[in-house]
Amino acid sequence: MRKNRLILTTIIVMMLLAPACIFAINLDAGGTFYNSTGFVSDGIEDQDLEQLNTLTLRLEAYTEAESGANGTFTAQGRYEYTDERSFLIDAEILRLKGTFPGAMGETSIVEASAGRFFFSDPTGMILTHTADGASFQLMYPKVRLMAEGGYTGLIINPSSDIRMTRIDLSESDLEIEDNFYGPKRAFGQFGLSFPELWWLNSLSLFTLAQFDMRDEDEGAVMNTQYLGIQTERSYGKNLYQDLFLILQAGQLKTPDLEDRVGYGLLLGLRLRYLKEDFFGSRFEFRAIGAPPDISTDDLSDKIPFGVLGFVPMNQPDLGEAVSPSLSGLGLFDLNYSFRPFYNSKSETAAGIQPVIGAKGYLRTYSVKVDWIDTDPDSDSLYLGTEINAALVWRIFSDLGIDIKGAYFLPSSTISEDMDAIWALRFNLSVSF
Amino acid sequence: MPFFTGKRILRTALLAVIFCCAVFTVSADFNTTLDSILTEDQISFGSASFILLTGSGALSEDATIEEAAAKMAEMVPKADASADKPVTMGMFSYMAMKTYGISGGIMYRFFPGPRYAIRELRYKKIVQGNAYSTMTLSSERALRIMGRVLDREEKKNAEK
Repeated sequence: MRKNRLILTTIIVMMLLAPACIFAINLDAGGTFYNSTGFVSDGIEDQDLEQLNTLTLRLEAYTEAESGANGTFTAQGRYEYTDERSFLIDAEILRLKGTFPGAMGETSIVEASAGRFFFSDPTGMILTHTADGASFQLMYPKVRLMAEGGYTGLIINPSSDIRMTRIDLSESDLEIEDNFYGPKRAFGQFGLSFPELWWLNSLSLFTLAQFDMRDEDEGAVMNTQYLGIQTERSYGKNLYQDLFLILQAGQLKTPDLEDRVGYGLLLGLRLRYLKEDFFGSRFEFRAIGAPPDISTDDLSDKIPFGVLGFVPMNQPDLGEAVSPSLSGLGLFDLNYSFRPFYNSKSETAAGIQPVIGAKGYLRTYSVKVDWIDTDPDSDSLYLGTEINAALVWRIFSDLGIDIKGAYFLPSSTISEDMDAIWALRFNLSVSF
Repeated sequence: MPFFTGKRILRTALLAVIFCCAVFTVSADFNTTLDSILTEDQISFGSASFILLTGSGALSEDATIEEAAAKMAEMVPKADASADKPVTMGMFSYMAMKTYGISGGIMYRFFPGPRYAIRELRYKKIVQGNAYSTMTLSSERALRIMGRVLDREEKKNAEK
């Protein structure tokens, strides 16, 4: 384990230094210190003080040709300390990016990237994760094309959040030395988007496919494919609407068992009403629904895949006190934030932003969900409400703090054995 | 040559802003100086000082570029005050923050200088696009940045 870390650190340092020397025309270096301290009660164990300290260091080298083409090398490493683990050193970004204006026509911009960087699908509901791979974008004023691919098997395990099957979850156990790297999955994504099309601000069509690169003999292997559409529209100058639909198909191959095929669907709506001239007010409503897979013969099956429908590559952060899975989930989320000193001459005072909100969680089929204990005798779909409040304060451009609290009000569907679920966190971020 | 070239639009915009802010009559000398500044591929310390100081009203439009450089050198001690020397993006940001009294972040308060000045102006969206402290900048880009500084000042004054 130590040997592996030493080799990895050496490779990272070499990769950091070599391109920086080549592109040493415009250099920028800096970092961010982040602390998160809080009490969390997950309803199972007693309340626990959680602490996370992160130091992120970033180096960027930039060069530009007379034609306007430019290249950027970005390296970002992270040192993390938690109560559970003494340290973690990780390379978050190692990216070489080229931008070529006019490369494929006068109005075109081509962007090509390779290395380790952040990948996301247009909705952020299937994949929002770091991976090693390449990305190509061709942009015209009326249409944008995107093609990218990556591999997640070289992301070290505490940083990897790719969890699709039970084997993926079992591989997150850091006590086992073989679990140094995260799940070996490869993915490819292709997308087309049209800015300012008809009455829409944008229309995006995309497809993503992920492949389990593990041997079938090692356990269950799952491949999934997604097809999605997303629209963005504004009504007047204050109201904005995002709408998306994702269709999913997947194949689960398990040793000694018959192969299974499952389908999923995810539908989402987000409305934002921005009233900046009234204390910087922002209202946001979000609804997400993932129905169960009705094509499955036996809906009483307790295996999430094939029953609860939609399975993303990594779960998006949807809750504060609870961490719901998208599969079989119905979510209603309402938030309001404002800036009481929005018109203040002091930028520091204007940076104070209270936030209040509530989230309602449902299961879309009366089957046991995998993120909270439910009463097996209950058929009710409603799971509970999470109320949350926060005070976010951007004191300076490089110094921010926030205090966030959330409390989960369970419905009668939740097992009575569960204790109160709540979280209270204090976060501090300083950039230098 | 088309009438509405980038330089012509920038010059007109800058003249209009300066006119509105300072309520001065634009002199022929000022026009000539501005024309010569707009020909610079890499804006010099003197030219940057001239547009920043005349834009803020801290310097008369009759002043020369050398006078502007000398005045700026008093305000920004870290600067290489040679009027002809190209100014970097970071130094231009620092000069703009000093001239217009723009407040900075916590690191800028401890270590005022080009490094944190450009970060502050990027955060405030005054500097846009690829921007690094050591990068040189054209007079056109400098004027665009200054246009956003003046726009911000105008909004602040309107709120008072």
